[in-house]
Amino acid sequence: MGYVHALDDISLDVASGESIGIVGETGSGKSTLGKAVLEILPPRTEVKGSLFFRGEELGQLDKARIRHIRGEEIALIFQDPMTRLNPLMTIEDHFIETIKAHQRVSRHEALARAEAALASMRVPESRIGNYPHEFSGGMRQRIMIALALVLNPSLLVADEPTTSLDVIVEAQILEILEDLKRTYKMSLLLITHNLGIVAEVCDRVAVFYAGKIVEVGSVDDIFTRPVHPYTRLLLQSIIHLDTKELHSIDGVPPDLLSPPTGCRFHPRCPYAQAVCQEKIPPLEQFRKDQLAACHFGKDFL
Amino acid sequence: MYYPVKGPFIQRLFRREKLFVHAVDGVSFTLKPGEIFGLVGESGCGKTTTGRAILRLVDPTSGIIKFEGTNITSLKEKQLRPLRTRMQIIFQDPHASLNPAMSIGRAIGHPLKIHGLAWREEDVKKQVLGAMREVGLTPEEQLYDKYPSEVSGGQKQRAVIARAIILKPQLIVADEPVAMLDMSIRAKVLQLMLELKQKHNLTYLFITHDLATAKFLCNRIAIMYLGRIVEIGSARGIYQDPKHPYTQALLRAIPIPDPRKRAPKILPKGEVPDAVYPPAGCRFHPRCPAVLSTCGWEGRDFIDLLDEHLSGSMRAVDDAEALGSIDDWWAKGFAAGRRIGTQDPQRLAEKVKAVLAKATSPMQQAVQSVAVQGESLIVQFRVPEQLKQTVVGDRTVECLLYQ
Amino acid sequence: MLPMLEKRRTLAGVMSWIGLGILVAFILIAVLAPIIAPYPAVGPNSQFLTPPNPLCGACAPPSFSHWMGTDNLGQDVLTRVLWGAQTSLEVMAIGVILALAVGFPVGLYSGYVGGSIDKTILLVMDSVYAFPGLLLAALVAAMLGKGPFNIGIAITVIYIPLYYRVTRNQTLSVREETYVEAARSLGARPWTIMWLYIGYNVLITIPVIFALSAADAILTAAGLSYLGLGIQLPTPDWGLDLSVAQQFLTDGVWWTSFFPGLMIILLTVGLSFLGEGLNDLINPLLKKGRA
Repeated sequence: MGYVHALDDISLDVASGESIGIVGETGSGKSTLGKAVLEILPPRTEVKGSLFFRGEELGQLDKARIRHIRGEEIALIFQDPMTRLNPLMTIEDHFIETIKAHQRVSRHEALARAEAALASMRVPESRIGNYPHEFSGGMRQRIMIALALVLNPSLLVADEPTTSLDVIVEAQILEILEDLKRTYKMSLLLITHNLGIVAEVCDRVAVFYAGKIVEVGSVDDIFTRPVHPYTRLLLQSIIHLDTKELHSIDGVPPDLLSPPTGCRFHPRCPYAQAVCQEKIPPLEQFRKDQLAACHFGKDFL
Repeated sequence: MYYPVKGPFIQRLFRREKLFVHAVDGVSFTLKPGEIFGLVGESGCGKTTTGRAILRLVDPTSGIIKFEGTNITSLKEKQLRPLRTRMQIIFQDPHASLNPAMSIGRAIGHPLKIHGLAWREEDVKKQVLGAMREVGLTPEEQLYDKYPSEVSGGQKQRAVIARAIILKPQLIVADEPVAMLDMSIRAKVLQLMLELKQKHNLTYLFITHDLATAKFLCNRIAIMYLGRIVEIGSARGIYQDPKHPYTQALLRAIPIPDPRKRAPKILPKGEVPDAVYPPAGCRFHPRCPAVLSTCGWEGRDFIDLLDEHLSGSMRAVDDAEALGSIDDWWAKGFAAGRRIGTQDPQRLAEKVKAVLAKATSPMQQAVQSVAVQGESLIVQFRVPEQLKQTVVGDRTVECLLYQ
Repeated sequence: MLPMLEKRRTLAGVMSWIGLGILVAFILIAVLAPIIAPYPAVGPNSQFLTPPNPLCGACAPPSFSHWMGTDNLGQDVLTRVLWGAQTSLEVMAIGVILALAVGFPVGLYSGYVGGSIDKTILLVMDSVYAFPGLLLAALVAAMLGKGPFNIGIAITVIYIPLYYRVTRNQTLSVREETYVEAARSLGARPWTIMWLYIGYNVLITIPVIFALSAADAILTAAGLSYLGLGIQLPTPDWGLDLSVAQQFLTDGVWWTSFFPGLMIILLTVGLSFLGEGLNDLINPLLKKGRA
């Protein structure tokens, strides 16, 4: 046994009201990032480095402060709402519990807030007494978003929020997320493998590969002027309505127990040279606000 | 020629009152040899059930399935078994499709043993290695002895494909074969499927919810909604000029991986309803942006409207008191109503009409009457027009807009 | 061939190793008893010519020549305790192995076919299961007569429902897996599906139950012989010896009860450790799909 290098040397800034997309495939470490931000990593995880939220370093805070932040400042929504919602509690119970855990308000007041949150998600308030399994998948996701928002967090971390949903419901949820950004100036950390939804909703994008950031930039730059070979190949491999040819990336994602030396993408990169195997490429700036970790980034501009 | 053809086809789900889940209801199509036929729709539309029914993994309650001229609808397993060599299925989840207790090599070779096509270990192994090479599972000697838990998702799916083709089938039903794979390897697997099709002259029934992939791969497509085929025709035609409002909605909803092309979308409201109680008339009518007054408005639609009104912020103060709670109302067929009780009938009728005034124009036109009948106030809708499959150009569409 | 389980230096791993170690030790004792026992198991071995303790015959406390003392007949306790391992393990092995041999296939079949056959078998099994174990075993033992083999059968009877249930429940969930459906689509015959696809994957849950029920079986067997059923004097058996020793306990003769009792406890605990440890190791693997 050894260490699984889930995340290595990640550095990201999220501004208020900004939505940033974390894009990666299996084994890229993107889910681990989501969990790390909320300090809910599995036990036996070693964390090096620090996470700052609004100037406070999360690793140094005491449990009470973390709990406060974890509901009211940062909220998390998952891929499958059923894993987060307790099947034995009504939606009303969920809301009351969440609100009361963080704020001292009367039950009446908590209920009012719950109903308002549901209304903003277009979930009929009359159904607040129902149980989670009585709702459809899309509704459950909306309820989960409402639950996450009821305490007015400033950052919403969404881990594959639409992966298990159909395309029309997905579009509806994305609309909601856009709305939230505009209305509440909420920041969004959208973790997904679906580049399509990132293009629809995000301002900036960070592309992850094998636990490291390989490219970061504005959504326009990343999609139209990608620098890193992985980003370019990934974009090419998307099948969309105008696809004429199929492209894929050779090889398989690396084993995180013993990742490749140097640049972790080099075994699959068509442009790899000797230096790629020897030296780890640093994240450099190639254009204004666009960084990539590639020794030959300049050639791809 | 292959003819999976089905008539009305209902799946049973037993509950207290013997309800039916109308998983697939009145689906009929023919597969031409050598084509890739796409069955496209969202979850709950019945596409997966249809795929499984063709292979008789699930038994249809009515209708006919014909394969290569033979009616296989009610054949016993013993008679069906030899036919299984000619039709195979690839499942969606590569991690669950392989027996964890069997090595890759053994799993791929198992069909040969089942059908007695090879007995000696060397023969079986030779064919398996050949199949592995064909699907790109190399180095095949090394991977032969590995277990599913030791290989990646893409490799597992290739193993599933190898297992499916080793019997040299004619028809392969592919149920979301790449949905659970990373984007960068989807193309590889799809490419493989295309190559195999060329080489072995296969016919595919490609089941998916991903319209983009369906567009790329398929020759013909059937769009399914809640158990029915709403549009069926050539893939190119459907994408260039979608006729059915649901097809149009699906195409609009697809996220485009190009930030310059962001645009607000007109999406149908709500979600796919329960398949146990499908909407009357055209099943898409409660959500359709192009709905007509004859599309199937019914009692339940009024209840939904009332529910929305009562829970919304636009209600007048005395609405709750006048209209009562939503549980006071019932819906049956094309009517909805409630017992008047202690209410003033006049006032109640007025309130109901006020609520109806907020409905879409087609719905309002479909209302036949709002009147007192005996002790109840009844909202009665007109009987809708009968929905038929209409041929429009190179397409068949099931929509009143074209009838 | 089942994939290898990871060895982990966790509590569960340590527990399993300790349990396994104890079990192996006992097996060795049972096998080597004839060689390592210092005295014959039966007959007076005491070196004392005169009975040291008038109240319990030839019993003598632990000493250099008799590490665990002697019992009332002058027999060396250590010897009897070592030989007792043979009896216990024999009974346990017969009992639990036969129970598995019957319970597993029946459970597999029952879970696979479902319907009225399943419900009928379930009813029968649940009825047997509802009986208090020791009582039922005692009944069966009384009917069958003496000897460790018959005790083994009695044990079998009360554990069959356990194996049946566990197997059936696992079968019910494995039956719904995609790879089973895949097997059907390939045209596999029901028998093949039942054994190769479902059976193999259910088997992985059995070792836990095996170890835990073996622990229970030891206690039950000891209980039976304590009650005087099946095993008769002078066969060395822990339960039996306990039964005899009981009457002398109030007179301060502790060693004739202590050591057999200790052996029962050790073996039971060892098997429990093994079972619990395996459970903690196997279950997470099951959840992750044996990844």
